[in-house]
Amino acid sequence: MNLEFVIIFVLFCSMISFYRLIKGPHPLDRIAAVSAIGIMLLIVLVLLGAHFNRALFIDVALVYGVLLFIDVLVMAKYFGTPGRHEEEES
Amino acid sequence: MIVDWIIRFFLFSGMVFFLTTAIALIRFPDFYSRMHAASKCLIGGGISILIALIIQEGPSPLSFRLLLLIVFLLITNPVVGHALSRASYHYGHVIKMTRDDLHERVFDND
Repeated sequence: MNLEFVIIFVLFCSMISFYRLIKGPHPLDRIAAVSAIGIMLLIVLVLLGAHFNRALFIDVALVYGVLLFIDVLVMAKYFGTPGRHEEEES
Repeated sequence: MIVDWIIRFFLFSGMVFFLTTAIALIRFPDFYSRMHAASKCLIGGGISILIALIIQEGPSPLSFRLLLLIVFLLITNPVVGHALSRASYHYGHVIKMTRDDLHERVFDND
């Protein structure tokens, strides 16, 4: 089992979960699908770094993980507010 | 010889976890079940593949960076799952539960 097969398989799994990004009945479903696809592509980036013997790809994967984390947190904070009532809680 | 089989086992385990995540994201009926699959199986697959790469690499600075990535994924992905589930609850997705302590803090706030 070489690394190319693993890379192609993980890309195939991210293409399967792309269905939930297109046909999500709610925006939070799409955000969950975006988080799943982002972590799968982070693993693909690490596997490409192991395949091409480039240590730089691991640093790119770390920064990509930090940006994905902040991105999903901001989107969850933005889309989760409409259920809250109008009065100001302390 | 035995190290090679351990690496193959971890790679295969990670691929099975990722396929489980992808099928669960398109087949589960509810948002909370999808979030349950997308937070646990996903992190299991990622950590399995990263452990395989660490065993293949041996002790080196690159392996230390992969270990840092594992710790980072273990910290951040439960935070993301909790934030998304809480946002969905505040949005109005309420399922039938036997005990619900958050309901009177969110909706009965008169």
